[in-house]
Amino acid sequence: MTMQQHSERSLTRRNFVKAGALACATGLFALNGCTLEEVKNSQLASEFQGIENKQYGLAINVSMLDALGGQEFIDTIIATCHSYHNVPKIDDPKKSMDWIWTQSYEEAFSDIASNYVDEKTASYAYPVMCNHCTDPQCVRVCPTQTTFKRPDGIVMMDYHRCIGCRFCMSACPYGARSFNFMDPRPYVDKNDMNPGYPTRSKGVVEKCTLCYELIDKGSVPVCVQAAYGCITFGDLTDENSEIRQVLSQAFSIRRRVELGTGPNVYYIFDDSMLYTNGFTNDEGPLFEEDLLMEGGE
Amino acid sequence: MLEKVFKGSKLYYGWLLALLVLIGVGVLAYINQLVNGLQLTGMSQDVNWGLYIAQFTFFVGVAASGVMVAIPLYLHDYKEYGPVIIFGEFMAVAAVLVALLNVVVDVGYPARLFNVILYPTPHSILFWDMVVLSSYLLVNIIIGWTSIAAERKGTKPAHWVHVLAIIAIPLAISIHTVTAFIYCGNVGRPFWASAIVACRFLASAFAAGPALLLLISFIMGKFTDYKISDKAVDTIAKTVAYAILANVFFFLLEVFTAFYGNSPHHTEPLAYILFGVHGHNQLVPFMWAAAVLIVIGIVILLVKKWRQTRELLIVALLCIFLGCWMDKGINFVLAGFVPNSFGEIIDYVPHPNEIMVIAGTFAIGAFVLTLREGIAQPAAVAFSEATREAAETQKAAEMEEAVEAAKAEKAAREAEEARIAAEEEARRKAEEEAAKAAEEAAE
Repeated sequence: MTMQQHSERSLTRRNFVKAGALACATGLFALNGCTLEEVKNSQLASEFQGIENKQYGLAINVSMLDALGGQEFIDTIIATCHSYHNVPKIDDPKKSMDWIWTQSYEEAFSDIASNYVDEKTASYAYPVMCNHCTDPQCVRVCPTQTTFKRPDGIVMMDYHRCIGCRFCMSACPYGARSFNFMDPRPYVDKNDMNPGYPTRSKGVVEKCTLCYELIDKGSVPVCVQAAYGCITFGDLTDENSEIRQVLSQAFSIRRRVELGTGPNVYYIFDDSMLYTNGFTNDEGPLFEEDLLMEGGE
Repeated sequence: MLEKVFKGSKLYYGWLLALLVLIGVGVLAYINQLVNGLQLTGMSQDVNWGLYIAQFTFFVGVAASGVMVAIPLYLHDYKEYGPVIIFGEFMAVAAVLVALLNVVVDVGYPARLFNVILYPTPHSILFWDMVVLSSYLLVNIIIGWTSIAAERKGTKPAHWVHVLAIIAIPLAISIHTVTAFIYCGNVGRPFWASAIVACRFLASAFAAGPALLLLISFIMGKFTDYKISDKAVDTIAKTVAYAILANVFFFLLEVFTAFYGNSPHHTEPLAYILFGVHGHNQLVPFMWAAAVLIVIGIVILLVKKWRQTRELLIVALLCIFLGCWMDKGINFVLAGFVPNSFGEIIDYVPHPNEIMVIAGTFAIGAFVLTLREGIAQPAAVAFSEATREAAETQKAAEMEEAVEAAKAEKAAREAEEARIAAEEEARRKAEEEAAKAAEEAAE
């Protein structure tokens, strides 16, 4: 068959490939135009220059939480955190957004749970959240440095850079991350909204950021403020810090330590601290009203 | 003949129309998802990757499988694969396209996709996946384009195209290896955190990909003048057989390691797909269907007589392709999320909207492939008919000219002959006269 016919078909094919490649490139660049102006990494780095190398962490005394009301009391802490950070309330458990929530001993510590665990330990509610790991998996896998580790150890989120690939959720061994499957704003209670904290958009991942904005102002995280001394915050690298003092006095465990991520949320079992660690009912809640906006419980 | 089949073939245009309708449905479903968010999928906070990422994984494999044709041809000069290779390269392009589309539809904030390039992050496997996938796509487009250009000019492709084709071989291996690394680096997901994932991926890809290549070749052979030799078919079928056996072997290694060691982290996801756990057994039918299909495929491929019977071969290839798809395009990704961080099992129930989006991405891949072998051809046929007519007119004119020239030549020759004859005559007469005169003089 004629050479000519062959060559004409090829010419069309070639043009087809050319047009296809061009169309792809055009489409991608058009999409890119939609990206918002974003904060440059260097800007963030300069903001961090004042922060020394630390590793902030939390010590959660589950015995004390139980003594103060257990699940019911922890629910008030969760509500305070969620309303302060405008976390949407979504009823569908498959899509619900949580920065801090509770699990049973068996669930939170499935790797070390015993068949014959004592009644107290088994009955406690265990608040779980981001562990602000020393070597975080999520930071390693994120393709855009949306989630990154601050020099003070906080694992941060940049909601304006996240592409919503959810690789961090697959990598996190603690299930600490929530993805906005829908627009979160309609699910934030308008009467209970904190105008001082940004809401997120659909399609991005969020999680506990250890209230970096309060820490930067010299305060402590909201959950610590709402926990009446049951949760201790501090720098784990400083042996004189309050958190190190608390940890040196009681038995503590962490979640899934064998994975090597270095979780920095400790769970303490010691209800004697209720009386020795400076907490009395007379002092009342340790809120700092000027930092907690309207709506914080 | 190709042009007779494609020109005005109802089946062909019906197929294209059906694909276009599917693409339209997919685009509408995607717009719906853009507006309402990824709540229109079966994904949840616990199963945060679903069928999209599974299709991405599977089709990266199909794209990589082109090397099973490229290695024998380029490294061992196995000439039987000559006609197969360009088609294989275009199948790779279509497969990469489907894979990339499934990533685009999966991300929550697609407008920010270019952040992966704006903030390059070498410690993220997704960054490397982007690098190797786009390199592979580019290399395949360049090879396809230049090969076609060479074919058009009736010459061999330039030497550097051959070099590129050889570079494409490790690139193809790399795209699937890096895709496997996305999974096996997650220490918190024991089903994925296995060193053999990349091997499993490559083995199942080298089975499913060439199987699809053969199936599409048979369809092409039925409707066009695309020809693939029986020898090439049998060699590719043998490749599929070896690859699927390796895949089964690797899976059994996983089963042994998990169940003999009996660590619950390793056994639970496997038990979930093999038998179901605590009443959760939605993936069990896919697991066993895949097992049965793959065994049927292996048996047919191993018996030479059956393998060389075209109808049985088609059954075997279909079985293996579907089996591999159920294994990698459904179960592998979903089972990785079982159990979650808290030992819970959360089922994945696909949303109709995401099925439509996926169907749309498949249709786009099929459309691109059909266009390459299809629409380009009727257009070329129409074009070539016009040129053939022009050529014929020219030929006729040339013929006339030639005839006239011959006539003129003949006339000239006759005139020349006449002239020569006249001269001869004159010379003879002169000689005769001279002779006569001489005689007379002698007398």
